[in-house]
Amino acid sequence: MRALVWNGVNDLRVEQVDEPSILNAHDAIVKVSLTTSCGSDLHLLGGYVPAMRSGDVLGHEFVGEVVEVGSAVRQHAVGDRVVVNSFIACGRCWYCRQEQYSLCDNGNPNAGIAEGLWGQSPGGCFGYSHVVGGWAGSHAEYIRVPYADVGMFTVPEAVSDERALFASDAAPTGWMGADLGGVGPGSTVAVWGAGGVGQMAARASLLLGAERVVVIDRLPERLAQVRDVIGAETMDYTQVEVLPELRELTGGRGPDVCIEAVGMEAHRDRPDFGYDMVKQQLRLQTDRPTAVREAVTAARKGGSVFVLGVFGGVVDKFPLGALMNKGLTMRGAQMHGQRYTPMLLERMAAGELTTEHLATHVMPLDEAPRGYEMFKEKEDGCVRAVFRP
Amino acid sequence: MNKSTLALLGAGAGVAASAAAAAAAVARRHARKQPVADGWKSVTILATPDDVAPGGVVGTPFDRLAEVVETRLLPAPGDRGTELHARVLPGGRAEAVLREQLGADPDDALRRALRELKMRVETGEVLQQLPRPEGRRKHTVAGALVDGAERRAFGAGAL
Repeated sequence: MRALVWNGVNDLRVEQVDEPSILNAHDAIVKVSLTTSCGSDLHLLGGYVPAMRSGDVLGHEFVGEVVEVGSAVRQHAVGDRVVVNSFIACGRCWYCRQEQYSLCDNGNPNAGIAEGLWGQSPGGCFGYSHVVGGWAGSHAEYIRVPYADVGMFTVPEAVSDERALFASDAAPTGWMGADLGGVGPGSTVAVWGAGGVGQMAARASLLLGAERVVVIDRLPERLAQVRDVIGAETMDYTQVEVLPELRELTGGRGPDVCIEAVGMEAHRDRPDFGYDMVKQQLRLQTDRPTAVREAVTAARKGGSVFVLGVFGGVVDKFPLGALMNKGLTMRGAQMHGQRYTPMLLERMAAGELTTEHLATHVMPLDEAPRGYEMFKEKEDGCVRAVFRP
Repeated sequence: MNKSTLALLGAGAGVAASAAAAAAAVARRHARKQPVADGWKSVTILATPDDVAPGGVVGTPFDRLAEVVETRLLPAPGDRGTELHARVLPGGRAEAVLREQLGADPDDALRRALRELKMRVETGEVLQQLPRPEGRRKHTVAGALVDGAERRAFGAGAL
């Protein structure tokens, strides 16, 4: 079959690879209908995530049709139209029982690598390096889905593939940031990053009852989507000073909840961006935490900061004093999608949550290398490049 | 070379010598420490003691290691299930048998066994990774490091 393969830093190619097969009784094989690029993939392209290997198949956010199931699969059958969560979770360990699916004890057979980096291992993830299992990704004609009854969900008839696609990762990730960040009725929320995840976090905040939600970015086409589709306010950091603007917007308090949806390759027009860039390129730090720093500084006293953007290692000049002295709660997580996706599909069916606007560029899988180039360089207003295998 | 340059070089050498001495002292202190928990390693399994050790015998793969590995079960606090603690029996023979049987470092073998048992009890099977769809694997130094890390991963880590 054809698949998009990582061949090295910024070197993607469509190659012929072997088709997957059922290896465990809880597996399913899915024929991929749509699979999308994600901002976190750019960290893989750029060589910022360790343990990528030439030959790895990328992609972790997808919809498709079940073509084969293992003997222990009970919830699905051949022919089901399904959306699959990016994180692989067993559904049986203590973390899964707490609905913290991305922390699954059993989904990552390469736990030893992750423990070396972080002390403990999260679950596995499709197409996202050997640190989280080395699982083949979804930018392919077929994909093997371990623990299919846990991470795979039948798409309601009323929901199109284009909408359901983002119930795989972007929508549950964004919802998790708002939910676990503590957004509720009356909250004021600031979201850094107007990509797919940031937009979904903003929409989730509104649906959870937030009174004001503002999304911060520099790209006009994405900020326009936030205003026109999501229904949140926007702030262009190239035009205004973010911290004083947020203070003014919140009556001098600062946002109750700050959600960071940018990750390790943040851009910014501030001196600390240059500092971070130099240190990252010299490999003196692994990530650029520019947006995280600002979120911590912006949050109101006693507020919360949720880190949704992907980070891999260590950062410098972290405002720990602000965290401590302002009494902040700071959290982060990979996505606990299995906790949210069924509810999100219902909201999608009801029209409360629309996502197809994120798929600005849909193209055949054969054009995926070009799609990623457009996505990376934000050409032609690309928010997400989506591929049809 | 003027006096101030010489002074700077002298100060730099002094700092380097101090750092080296401090590092050596830390290394000596670490070398004197006991092995971690006398070689015990553990996992917490969301299951009852009877599920972990039916009839009092810890299940596969520990049933194959009974002669060389010592185990004990403890209830995990907060309804988290059962803690399984295991270690290679002290003494050279057990380690030698493990190396012969499993071809692995005893610590790695123990980690593999603990992870495998946890998967078996909690999910009913051991999750398989290979074969998987993959493109051309170029032979590079970085690639060899990743391949090696993955081969060792199930038996490696902080466990």
